Amino acid sequence: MAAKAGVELSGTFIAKKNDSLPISISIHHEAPETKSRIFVRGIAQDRSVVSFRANARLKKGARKADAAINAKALLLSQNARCELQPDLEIDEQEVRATHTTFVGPLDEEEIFYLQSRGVSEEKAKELLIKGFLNIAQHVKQVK
Amino acid sequence: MSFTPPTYQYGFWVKDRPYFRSPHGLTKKAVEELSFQKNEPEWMLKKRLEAFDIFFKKDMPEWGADLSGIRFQDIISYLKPTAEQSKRWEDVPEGIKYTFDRLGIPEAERKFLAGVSAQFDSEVVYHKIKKKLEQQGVIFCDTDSAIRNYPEFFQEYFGKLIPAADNKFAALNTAFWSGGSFVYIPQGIHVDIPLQAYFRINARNMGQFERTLIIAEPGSSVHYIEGCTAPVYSQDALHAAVVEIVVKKNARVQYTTIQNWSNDVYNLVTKRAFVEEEGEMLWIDGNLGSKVTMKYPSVFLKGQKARGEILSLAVAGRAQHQDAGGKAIHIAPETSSLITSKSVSHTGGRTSYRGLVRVTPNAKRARSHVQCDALILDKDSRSDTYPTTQTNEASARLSHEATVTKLSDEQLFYLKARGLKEADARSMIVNGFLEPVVKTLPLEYAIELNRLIELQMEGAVG
Repeated sequence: MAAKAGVELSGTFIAKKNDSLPISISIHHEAPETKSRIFVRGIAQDRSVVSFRANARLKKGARKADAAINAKALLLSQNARCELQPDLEIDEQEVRATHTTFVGPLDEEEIFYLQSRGVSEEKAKELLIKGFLNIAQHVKQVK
Repeated sequence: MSFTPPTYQYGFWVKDRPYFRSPHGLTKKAVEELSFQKNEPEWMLKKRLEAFDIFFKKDMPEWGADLSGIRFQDIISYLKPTAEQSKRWEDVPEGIKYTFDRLGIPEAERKFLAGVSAQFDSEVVYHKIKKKLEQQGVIFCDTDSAIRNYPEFFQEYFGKLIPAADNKFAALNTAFWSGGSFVYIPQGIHVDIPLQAYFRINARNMGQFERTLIIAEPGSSVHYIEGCTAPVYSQDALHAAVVEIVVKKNARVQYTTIQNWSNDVYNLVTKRAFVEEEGEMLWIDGNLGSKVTMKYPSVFLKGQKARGEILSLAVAGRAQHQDAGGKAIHIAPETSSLITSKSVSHTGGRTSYRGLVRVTPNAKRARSHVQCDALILDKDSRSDTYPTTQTNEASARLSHEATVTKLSDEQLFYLKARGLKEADARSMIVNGFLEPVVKTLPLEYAIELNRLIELQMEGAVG
């Protein structure tokens, strides 16, 4: 990336049946004041296997660079598998770098709330998953 | 040493019977001779020899820190008494003496830490504590004599948590281990003062390949402290310890290490705890010294509602690489783990957090959170975060957060405006950053650690 360049990468994945989904993202910051945002939401169903790797390298000279990795996945089946590996390698001082990951089930309380509003359990789950995968909405929050 | 138990056979400490110097290097013969000198049971020699073969078959770990500087043949030639009796105080490097001064370490302790005296002069204190522990049925001794006096525990647990085949350095340790502590806490007993290895009469806990086994029976609790904050002067180029801890139902074990080896040491340690139902294991792992450290204390949460916590603290300065972290393996339902890592790199040092959280199927409703915070003090230093999360259980919740920040100019400016010198301001900020880990330490350790960090920071102002 050149000076002050920026990249924003967002994506969703939906893994189902016997899918094997290796996702690998690599971002190298080499110039000053570069900025990167990786934003991923995904679900793993059935017997799918998801392996998510993201590597953000802030090399020497990438002064005031700013990198963020944010990856969350819902594991929706007892037979699905998920591995998250967000690496940060930082070789410069004046930088900001963060990553956040989460993997887990849907929130029971949220399902319960929707049910108390007359939504069936099935429908509630569907709404919550759709909302989770709706990246556009999330990306706005990140900025 | 009138209270030395008759079975306490430190024959090789006596001058007229010199401990063997291993002219053979890294050989089977050296293993056999070591076992013979220790007057060990046959099965232990067998274990050592098996491990010796495994060591040669195992590859060097290539996923972590740079270990290409290790020369095994040279290392094994140091397999003589761990404390060099012949060393004189005058030979201890000035830097180490200066640090002792600044930390306010008592004279007797300094000589011990520098390896000049093999014995820390704490007999009176130790004697009292020992009596009380004996009344409670607590066993606390060095591993060498424990293996002769309490073989039943070793046959059951030795190498069961960390088999020789676990990794190359665990194999090396199993083949050549010497020293370390054995701790046994009977059912329902709470040991209310921290057990410190250097309370032991012949504090040979700082060996090159020390081996520690801790067993906490149901409902018991203990806090074990390994090493100390003062720099340990050592001639060994490699330290590869193995620590195995069994936490039974409802028991609690806290294991605290503040490692501060001198800056030429490779410190490659395997530490693992098995935690049964509703048990709790807490690792507090501080890494300040050594040239390269690779150490990832682990908790295997095997019983329902077992809990594991790992607090990792790393400070890396010039030419140092601290590759540290933690592992939590969730095997049973409703288990929880928390890993907190705080690292500081300065003056060209490198810190890496490396961790693993794995949830196996049927670990229903397991929970884990990993928090890594790194602080970089200058442009020559480096910080990495390598976390891995693997899950196979749909009801488990795993989260991870990491931040890397620099020392903030605003904070520095504020403190300087209040009349603090740059160096003081920096060490104050660093100490504040590390506070969540430091405050879990016993008071005297926390104080020493704070002083030590201040001392390191002095050199870091550029």
